[in-house]
Amino acid sequence: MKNPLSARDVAIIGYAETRIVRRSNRSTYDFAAEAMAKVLASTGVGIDEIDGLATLIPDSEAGNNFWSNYLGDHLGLTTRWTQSSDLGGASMAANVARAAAAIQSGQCEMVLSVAASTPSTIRTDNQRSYRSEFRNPTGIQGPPGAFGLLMHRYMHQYQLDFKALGKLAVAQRNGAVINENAVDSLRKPMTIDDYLASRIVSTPLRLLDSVMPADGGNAILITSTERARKMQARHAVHPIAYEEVTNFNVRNPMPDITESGFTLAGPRALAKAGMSPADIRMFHPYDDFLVAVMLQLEHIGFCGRGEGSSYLLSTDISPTGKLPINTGGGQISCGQPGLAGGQLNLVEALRQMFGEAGERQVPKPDTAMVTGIGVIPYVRNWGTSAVLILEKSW
Amino acid sequence: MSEKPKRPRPAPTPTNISQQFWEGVNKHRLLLQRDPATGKCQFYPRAVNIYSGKQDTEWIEATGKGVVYSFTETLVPARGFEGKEPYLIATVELEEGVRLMSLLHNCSAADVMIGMRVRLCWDKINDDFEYFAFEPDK
Repeated sequence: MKNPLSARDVAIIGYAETRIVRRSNRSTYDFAAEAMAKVLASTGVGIDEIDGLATLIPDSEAGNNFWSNYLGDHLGLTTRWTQSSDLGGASMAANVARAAAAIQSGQCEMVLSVAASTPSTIRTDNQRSYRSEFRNPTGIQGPPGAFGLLMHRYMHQYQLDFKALGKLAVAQRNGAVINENAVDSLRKPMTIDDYLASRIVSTPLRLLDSVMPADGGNAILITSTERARKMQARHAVHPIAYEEVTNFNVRNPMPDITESGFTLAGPRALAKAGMSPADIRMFHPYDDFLVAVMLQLEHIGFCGRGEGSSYLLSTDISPTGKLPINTGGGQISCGQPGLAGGQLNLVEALRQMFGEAGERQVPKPDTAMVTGIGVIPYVRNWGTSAVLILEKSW
Repeated sequence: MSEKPKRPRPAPTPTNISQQFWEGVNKHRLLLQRDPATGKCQFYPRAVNIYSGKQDTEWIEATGKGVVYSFTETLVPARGFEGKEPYLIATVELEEGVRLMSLLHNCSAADVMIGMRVRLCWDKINDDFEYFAFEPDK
């Protein structure tokens, strides 16, 4: 499989994140601007150096069919390359690959990939097609309902130990407690019993299986490795492999819902990187629901199908463990700034690889896998599965 | 006494693509699109035959017999379903080889099982719309 990223000629040189807050009453543009200002300050890059802009269509600005143009205008950016992705929570991992391809093909040199969304203040999204015609009239409780259906089917085919999900919930919460950007109300320690006792939303899914909507933003800077060296960037992380699958199983009218596109994207990304799961130092998976993390472990190949519970129970997933997972709390314990939450775990991976994670620093953070998930289709598993593998350079 | 105005149950938003499907529903007929070449069905109604890329699907009437693929009991209601909780939602696989999602009627959470046989029933949303649902087929 062709993999231009293996040249390691593209580098991520900076990251930034706003605090994540509930009902901020702030504009999406405000969070995006804060994230940009912070990443410029931490890297010393000037606003006039940015010639590429990547973003996603946020829950709070959807409906503006010139969104990326408006955003670049507000931020004061004149760009040669502009990309607005609509792969939901997979958009920002996808944007790293799209930005890298744009840099490699000479379309731009310094890309700001910025996400912001404020769904706990305002939502303007309106999805039609199967969503309004065939999903909403059933009374399903949105994503929690869909994941309730997924979990019951998984339990029918395999063993699901809720203590394993509880352990994951606690591990992520431990990260959020020491993450000053996490939503205040989530920065309280919790136990596996707290998880098990949390109220059921849509059986068998509990409140603490789920993300909480919030407002926030984040940004990264992507450039050529050559430029990163010339400007003496403090740190550089290479994206070395990327794969995505959208609309997995779409022509199968009765697919196994316990499978996802990660069964394809995971092994393909690893093959491109010349790696096996054991070579991944830490895992920063998209986490809208705890079970989604467990399924990704199975589908990407960290463990076998149906072995997610026993893998989680027998593996140290803390920052000093064998496979650290979502060390900053993930979306589930930081709060999900809408679709901008898709970059939250990427930012944490970069923070770790830059050696800036403080009390939760992973030793020898040389490689990381970051994932993205987008869209809940009609009676299938999630729509987009994206896998990004990162390698620390300096 | 001021009561919170009740939000209406969301009604479907038909398009020209699904017009025949909804006309069928209002006559209590569940119509599926079938690929004339392979006989494979698809659901939801689309403007294209997903098996061939042609616009040649034909409508057939489903028998309404199926089995539960999965289910969830909703304890926190969706918009427009306030006060109806708890209620069961199932994904159902029809004999014709498609999976649908709907409310599961006349069944309690204690009785529902994956693999359980179900049959089509109907559900009035408002004066303009009926919606398909399923119930145990005993």
